Amino acid sequence: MHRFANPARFMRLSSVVLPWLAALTALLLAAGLVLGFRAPPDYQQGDTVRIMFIHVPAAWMAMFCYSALAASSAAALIWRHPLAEIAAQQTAPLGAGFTAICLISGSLWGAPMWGTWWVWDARLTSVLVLFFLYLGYIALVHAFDDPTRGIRAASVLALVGWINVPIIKFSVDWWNTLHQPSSVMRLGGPTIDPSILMPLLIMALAFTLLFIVLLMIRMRAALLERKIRALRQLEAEAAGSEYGYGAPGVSA
Amino acid sequence: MTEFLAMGGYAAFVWPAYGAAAIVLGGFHDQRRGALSLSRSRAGRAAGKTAGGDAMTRKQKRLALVLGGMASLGVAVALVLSAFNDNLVFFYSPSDVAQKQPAAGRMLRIGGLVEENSVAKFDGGARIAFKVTDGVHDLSVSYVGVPPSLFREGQGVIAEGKLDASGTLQAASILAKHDERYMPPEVVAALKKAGQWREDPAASAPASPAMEAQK
Repeated sequence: MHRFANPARFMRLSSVVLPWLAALTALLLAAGLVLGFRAPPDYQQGDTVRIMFIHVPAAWMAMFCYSALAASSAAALIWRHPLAEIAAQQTAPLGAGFTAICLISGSLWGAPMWGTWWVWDARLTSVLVLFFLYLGYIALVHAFDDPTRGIRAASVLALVGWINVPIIKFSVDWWNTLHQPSSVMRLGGPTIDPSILMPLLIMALAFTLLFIVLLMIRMRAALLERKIRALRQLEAEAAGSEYGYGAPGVSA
Repeated sequence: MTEFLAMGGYAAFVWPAYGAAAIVLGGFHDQRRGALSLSRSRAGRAAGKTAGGDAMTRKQKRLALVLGGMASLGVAVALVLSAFNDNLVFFYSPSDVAQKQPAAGRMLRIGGLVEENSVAKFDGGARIAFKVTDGVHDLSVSYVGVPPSLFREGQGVIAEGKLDASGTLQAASILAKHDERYMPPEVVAALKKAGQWREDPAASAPASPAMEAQK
């Protein structure tokens, strides 16, 4: 794992992989959308079942991104790996975005089917907490003048907050909720007809790839930004010594 | 086990007290160890040795700290959640109401299935009355207004309102709760034709013997 966790190697590898992954993502997203809109309506919920094709993948990604955030934060805390720090920092806004999609699409689905935009049941509330955990992480990274201290504090928050992920997953089994129980990842197999399940799984794969592509682009940008900052600093130091500031022995 | 965790109804007080004590005591332990290692490193320096002579490297220590912290946090959250279990449920079933006898006039939510052949309309459709059942007990609900489009007999429902003196829930709002199955109408028709169709599995499965007994 450490072999691939080298920033220079990451830049080289990602530049090769990125165009292919991006093309595959676009293809899967298109296929998922076409199949999703051609899938039959649900026997009870009619065409609103199509909201599922974005709501459920977004919800899965919200939990997946948070687990990735917690894992990279652990790697950053324990092994002090610079790439893990950048990965964690760049995952957070993406995860927050997926969580926002999940909350908004879920609200739009709940209004016509349940008869309410929002209720404070265990599932909905725990996902809202997840959204605030992402926002808290992002805020905490920038809350310190010293960026390393900010990232370290935020990493601890990311780890502590991970406890929410199993709570989200099992909230519908542990407590009475308005939200229905799991349909796909459950004992006894999915309770979704193949004609509706297929587009859902393709969209889920497309969302996962989309996350990986976006994360790679963001990490590359962050690494380049760091390089530019370092070069600027070198330049400023060189310019400083030219005018005789701070260079040793000039005052003599 | 559940009885032990419930602590005779005082779980919300007992477990947080233990949790707080454990956290504070853990903090003491860490402080003491810090002082110990400091004095040890001083002693080591005095003896001309480095302080890094421990069995664990710094990385391993950090790993152990993260794992230990996560494990104790998990236990703490599990205890708190089981202590507040009763406040985390979104609705009560008719059986819960029969068992707990909540006071009339208190706001509460009741969830279950709309009992078959129980929906009746009054005042030209402005008010509806129906029974919510969990297969064992049922509860009468009265509601003025238009229910959600998924509301129908045999379908999951959550009603929020106050119990009146006769034990009927005067609902202020009605929410429809659907199950986790999604399928096209043709598949449902085929299943029904083949006699393979089950109504809402969550509510009907454990209830059937009691339902038979009631009839």
